[in-house]
Amino acid sequence: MVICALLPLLQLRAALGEAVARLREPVALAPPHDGPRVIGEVSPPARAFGLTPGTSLGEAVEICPELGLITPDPTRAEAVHEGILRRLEGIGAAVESSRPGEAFFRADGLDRLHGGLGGVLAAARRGLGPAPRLAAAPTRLAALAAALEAEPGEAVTVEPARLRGHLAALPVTILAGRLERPGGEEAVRSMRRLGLKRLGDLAALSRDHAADRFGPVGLEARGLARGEEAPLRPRPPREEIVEQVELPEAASGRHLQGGIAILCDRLSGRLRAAGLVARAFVLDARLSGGGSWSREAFPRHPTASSQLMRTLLSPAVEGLPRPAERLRLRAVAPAPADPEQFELDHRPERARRRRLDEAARQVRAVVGERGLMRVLDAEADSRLPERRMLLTPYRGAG
Amino acid sequence: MSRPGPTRAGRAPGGRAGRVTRLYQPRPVEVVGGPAPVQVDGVDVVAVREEWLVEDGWWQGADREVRRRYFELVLVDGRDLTVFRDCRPGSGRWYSQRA
Repeated sequence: MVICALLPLLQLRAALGEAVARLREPVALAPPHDGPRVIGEVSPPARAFGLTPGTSLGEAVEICPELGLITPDPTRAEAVHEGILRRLEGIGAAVESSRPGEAFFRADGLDRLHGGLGGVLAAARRGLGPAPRLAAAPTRLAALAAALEAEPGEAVTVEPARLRGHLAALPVTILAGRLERPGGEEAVRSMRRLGLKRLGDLAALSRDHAADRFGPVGLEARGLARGEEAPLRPRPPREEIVEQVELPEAASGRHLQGGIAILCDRLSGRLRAAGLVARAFVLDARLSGGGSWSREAFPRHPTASSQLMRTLLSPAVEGLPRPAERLRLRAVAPAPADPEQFELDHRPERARRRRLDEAARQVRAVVGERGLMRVLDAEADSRLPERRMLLTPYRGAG
Repeated sequence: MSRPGPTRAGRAPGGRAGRVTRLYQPRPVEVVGGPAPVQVDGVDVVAVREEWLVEDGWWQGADREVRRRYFELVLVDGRDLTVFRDCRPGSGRWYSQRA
C-alpha cells in the first residue's frame, strides 16, 4: 500500500505564519517580485470567487477586490516541507516527493515495525501532528485522491478491492500535472472536450483507442486510471551543511556582499575540514519587513571552493527585493571529495582529458553519436585523397 | 571491377554512427568536353590550372587498379574544383574530389 501525506496550501500557510486563520478569508500568494505577475496558491474563499493559481494579478483583483495578497516565504515553505519529509523518514519511510506539501511512501516493510498498516498510519500521524491528511491506497494516485477528500487529522484507507471503483469516480482533471510524458495538460483538456469526465471513462477505453487519440500520454493516463503506476522513486538520503549570519541591521549592496563572503568562507572551511564537496548551494535571506528569498546555484563540478561559491552567488543577491536581516547558505548533498577533482589535480594533462571527455559527452547528448567524430591519418602520403584520412566515432580523449 | 566511391573501410560521411568512414570520397559529376572538361554540372570551365595522372595498384590485379586523370579547374562561378576521369577500361566516368 502507498501512503500519501498531504498538507494542502503549504506555501500559503508558510507565508501566513502565525496568521494562518486568514485562510478563512479570500487571500492568495502575491507574485514573486522577479517572476511573472500571476498569483500563487489561493485560500478556499478566494477559490470560491473563481480564482486559481496562475490567474494574472490584475484579473484576480478585478474579480475579487477584497483579495488579500500575501508575500511569499519560500524559505519557510521549504523548511516546513523538509520537516514533513524528515519526520516521515524518521519513522523509517523511503519518501517520494515532487511537490510542496505532498509526500508518498510505501507501507510495505514498515508494517512489521509499526504493527500493521494502522500502526504505520498512527506513527506517521504522531510524527506529523494533526494538520496533514493521510491516506493509504494501492496506488499513488488513489492515495492522493483519498487524502484530498480526507478531513485534516483524518486517515483514510482504500482497500485493494475498492481501487477500481475509487479511481473510476475521480474526475480526469486529477491527472493534470501528474502525467510524466509531454503534452499531459493538453491531453487532459482534450479528454474533457471529448466527454471523458471521469477516470472510469478513460479506463474503459481500449488500449488502441487511447493510443490513437492521445498518443503515448494517453496510454500513461489510461494506465493511471486503471491503477497501473510506476514504482515510487524515493529521494536519496540527504545531508546538508548550513551556515548563517544575522545581519546587525537590514543590509543591502556591499554589506550583503560582505555577508556572502563570510558565509562562503565558513562553509568552504567546514566542507574542506570534513573532506567534502557539494553539488549545489542554496542561499536564502530573511527580508526586513517579512518574507524571504532564496536562490540555488549549481557549479559545474562538485566543489568546496569559497571563491567559486562567491562567483556563483554574488550576482544573485542583486535581485533581492528588500534589505535582508539574515543570510543562510546551505551545501546540498555534500559528498566525499574526489582526490582527482579539478581543484586539487596537479596533472593538467589528465584534467584536460577529463574535461574534453565531459564536453564530448555533452555534445553527443545533444546532437547524437554522429555529431562527434575523430579524424585519423590513414595513409597521409597517398596520392588518392580518399585513402589519406579516416573519420571514426569519437570515443574519448584517451 | 572496383569503382571510385565508398571503399571497403566504410560508407560516405554521414553514414550510420559507429562505422568508420573515409574523408574526401569521390562524388559523381556530369562533365562535358574531353579530354579536358569544358563544363561541370552545367557550369562552364574558365581555366584548367593543372592536370595530372594517378596510376596505382596495377600490380595487384584489375580489381585493385586505379587509373585517374585529374584536372584542377576554375569555374565561371569562381569555384576552384578538382575533378578526375576514371580511365580504367569500361568506365570513363567523371568524379569531383577534394584533393
